[in-house]
Amino acid sequence: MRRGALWVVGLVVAGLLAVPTAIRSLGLPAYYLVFLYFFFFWVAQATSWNVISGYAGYFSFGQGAFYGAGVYGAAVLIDRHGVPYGLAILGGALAGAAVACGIGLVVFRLRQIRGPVFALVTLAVAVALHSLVNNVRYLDGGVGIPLPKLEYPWGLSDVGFLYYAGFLVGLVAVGVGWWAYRSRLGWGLRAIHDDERVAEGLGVPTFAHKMAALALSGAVAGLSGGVHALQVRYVTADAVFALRVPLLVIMMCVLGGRRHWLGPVLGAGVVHAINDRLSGPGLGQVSEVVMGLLLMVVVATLPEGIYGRVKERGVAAGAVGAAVIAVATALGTVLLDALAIGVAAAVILLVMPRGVPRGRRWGRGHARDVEVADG
Amino acid sequence: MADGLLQLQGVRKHFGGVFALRGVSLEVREGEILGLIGPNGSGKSTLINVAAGYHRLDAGRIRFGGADITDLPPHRRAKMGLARTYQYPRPFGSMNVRDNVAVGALFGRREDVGAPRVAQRSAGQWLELLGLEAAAEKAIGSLTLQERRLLELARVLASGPRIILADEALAGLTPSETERVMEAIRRIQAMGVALLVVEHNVKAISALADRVVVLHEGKVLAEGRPGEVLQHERVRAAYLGGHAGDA
Repeated sequence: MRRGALWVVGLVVAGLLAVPTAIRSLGLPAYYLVFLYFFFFWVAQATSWNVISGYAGYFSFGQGAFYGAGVYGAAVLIDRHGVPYGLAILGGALAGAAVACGIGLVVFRLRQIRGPVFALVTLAVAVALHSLVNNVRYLDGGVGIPLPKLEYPWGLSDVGFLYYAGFLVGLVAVGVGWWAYRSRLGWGLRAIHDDERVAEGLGVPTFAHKMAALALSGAVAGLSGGVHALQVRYVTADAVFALRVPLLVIMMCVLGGRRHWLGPVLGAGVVHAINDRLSGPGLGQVSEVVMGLLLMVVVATLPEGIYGRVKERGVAAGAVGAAVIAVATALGTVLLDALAIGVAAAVILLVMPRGVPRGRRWGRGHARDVEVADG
Repeated sequence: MADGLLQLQGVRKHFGGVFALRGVSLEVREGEILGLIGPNGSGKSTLINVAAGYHRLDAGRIRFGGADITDLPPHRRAKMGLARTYQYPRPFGSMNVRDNVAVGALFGRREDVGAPRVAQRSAGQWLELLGLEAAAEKAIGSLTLQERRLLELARVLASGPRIILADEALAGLTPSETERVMEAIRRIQAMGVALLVVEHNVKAISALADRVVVLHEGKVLAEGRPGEVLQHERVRAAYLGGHAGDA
């Protein structure tokens, strides 16, 4: 990593570590920490999904299975076995990885399970896990698992501990996404995404790469799920295995960009900020409409997601967002509302079209450049 | 059979009721260019797919560098130095030209390329060797067919192959483009890499190949030096319509 980038990462990490102290000093409500916890949660879940579905192109609807395995792994270890919560969270990561490896060992052996079939298989696993958890008393039995109030170190409150734990998991997730993107694994996954058969012929061990990606995805989702069990405190199968998690992570990654590690972070930030601010005052349905419209615009015009535009308009979008936040705050808007308005303004600037380039004509191409499937 | 680099022994392959290969035996020797010709449907592409590990055999064995590779998957064969190109070029569309070649370097047989950055740097030499250095940062969508064919060769060359199975590497090219790709193939051979070149262009294969094998209806019809094989009566009847020089 370049020295400049290291400084930026260091400053961001130091800034986020100082947030709880700053919020306490400024007398701001603790909800700011909850808001940020959920941002970290979504960053972890979206990054987890992106490693297998974005990099390798194996579109999954099974995020709920990995996340759910993590939530229930941790909850069962704490409630049924009295395992300390730190170990229980790691148990959640193992449970997520185990479910992922189980799926991978079956579906990646069968070459015909790709594309929509893979997506449906992963969804089916999530549905099956939901049913299993609901019907096995040891796991849940349909009554839910209430977790006891836990004592956290250094006198941290629930909210304070969850903020730091969520931040750490988000950091680990982004680290995994960054490493997977830049490593041999990431190169192999991108080759698999583009043409798995050709990748195999060039020496990419496709089965091992896909297994590694799915296991990492499951472990990160499970780790995040393990922490989330402590956040919800009363774990129920219907809430954990609802379609909300897989649908939102897909939306975040498509919006942010699936081919780069930063895409899920951007997508999680945009979706969470707007969703949270609109859902709070009971405008949840408005939020869904806004997200749907935004998704349509991005899918139709930005195949690389907004990350593709950040490379060329990131500074301008950042400046506009910051200016809007400053003005809105100065006008008396609550900081989180101002933040969401600033994010929305930056996103509008990012998705604005460049205009039709000169000389471009629809429907004309070079026949010799058209790719044809290998006969 | 003399010791060859790649040996196919009694290879059979069928798809449903269609017998694509009916007991084919052939060998490619170290450093040679072996031309593989035959009419459409004679089993040429199937033979390439079988040799590269994409199709399982019904019967027969395949040996490479003295080792039995019959049951090895394609990526293991690539690691041993058995590389292939495609009838229709299949570059990685989301990567630029340099990164396409870097993938070959990163996952192939070369042990001195362990990291992506090293692979990206090393890609330059293969692009330069094949005259593609000016296109290194280009997106795939902007390449001509000739550039795509050269890119396929550069990508497998970067993997450190001992043999390249080139499936119709000259198809669809103009005469001047054909000459340029043929020159690239000769340069690759000069590096000691053997090539099995599947081709319809008989004039080109006569000029390029050290030996030629003719496939017909899944069997080897003739084998030998290009001049001799193309004068073979059964070859002219089955493939060239009796006018070898016109093909």
